[in-house]
Amino acid sequence: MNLTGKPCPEFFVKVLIPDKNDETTNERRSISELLRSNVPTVIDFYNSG
Amino acid sequence: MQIGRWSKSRYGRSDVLFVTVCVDIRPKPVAREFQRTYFDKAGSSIINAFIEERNDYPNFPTQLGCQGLLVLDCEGNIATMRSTAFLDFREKAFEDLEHLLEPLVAAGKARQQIATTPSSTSSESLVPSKHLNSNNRLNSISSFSLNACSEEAVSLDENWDSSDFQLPLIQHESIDEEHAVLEGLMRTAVRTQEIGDVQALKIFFVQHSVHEESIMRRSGFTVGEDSNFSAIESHIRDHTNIVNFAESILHNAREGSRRKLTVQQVTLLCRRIIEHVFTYDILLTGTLDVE
Repeated sequence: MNLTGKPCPEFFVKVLIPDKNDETTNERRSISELLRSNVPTVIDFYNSG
Repeated sequence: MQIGRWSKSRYGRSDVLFVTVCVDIRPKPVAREFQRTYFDKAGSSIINAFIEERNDYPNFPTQLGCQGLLVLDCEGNIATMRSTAFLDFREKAFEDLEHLLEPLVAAGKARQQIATTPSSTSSESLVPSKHLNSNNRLNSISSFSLNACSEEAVSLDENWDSSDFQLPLIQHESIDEEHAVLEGLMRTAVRTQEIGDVQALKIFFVQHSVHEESIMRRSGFTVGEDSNFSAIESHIRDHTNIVNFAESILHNAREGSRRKLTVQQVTLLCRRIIEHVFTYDILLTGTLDVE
């Protein structure tokens, strides 16, 4: 499967609020809601491994 | 963490958005720990998030960051599903990402200058329908290894169909014709993996690159508007990198007296070519002189 040039398919995250580490946004946000207009995006999936 | 360094010292809020997504089995506490350790003082170009529910995972093949980053262009389209892996290439992986970001940042800046309304990222999906389920979502839920530095990333080499090789038109007759030839050569190379077919792809890509670069020069591409980005220099460098990669896999196959390359090698070469067209050539749309 090659998705180059296609819109990034949606997935959902919860966002940590900076400087308030015990707080997160209350609702799931889709990745497209987080993107900034006319700004490229680098997405890094990480874990503790 | 490199993303913290990029955000702090190299890329501002209007240059690149970094979205770090914790997919640990304990996502929230681990995301908090990374926030405190790496991101709190790293600038406003990072959004740190986590995924708790299995159903929220990406429904397409992706991987942990040290196996390669997912990069979107300034319209939310995928520029690469997997950048060069830090796991395999260390510091060079960072350099490769910076190189990939050059044209993407330049395109974003150009659009920011002319934008009067925010661009939409909710355009109609171009994902082939055979990959979608009844909810219009992709069929394969991503799986992430427990330890990216010791396990292989999920394969991106399977289930390619004809439409996966399709290149966008850049509205220049001879370049679009050559891209159509490239599509055919890529399909053949992936189907056979024969050295002769990959060699034919490489030779035509070299000829096409020389032709394209000459048209760019004639069309006034010398130095980019942003002094940090020379469109033609960056473009040529990417041509060269692709040719070097093609030559390296062909050389390795000949050294091993093999008639065929691996599927992974050929699809990676094709992904590099396709990503090049969607990242670099797309910027040429409507800008090249007619021959």
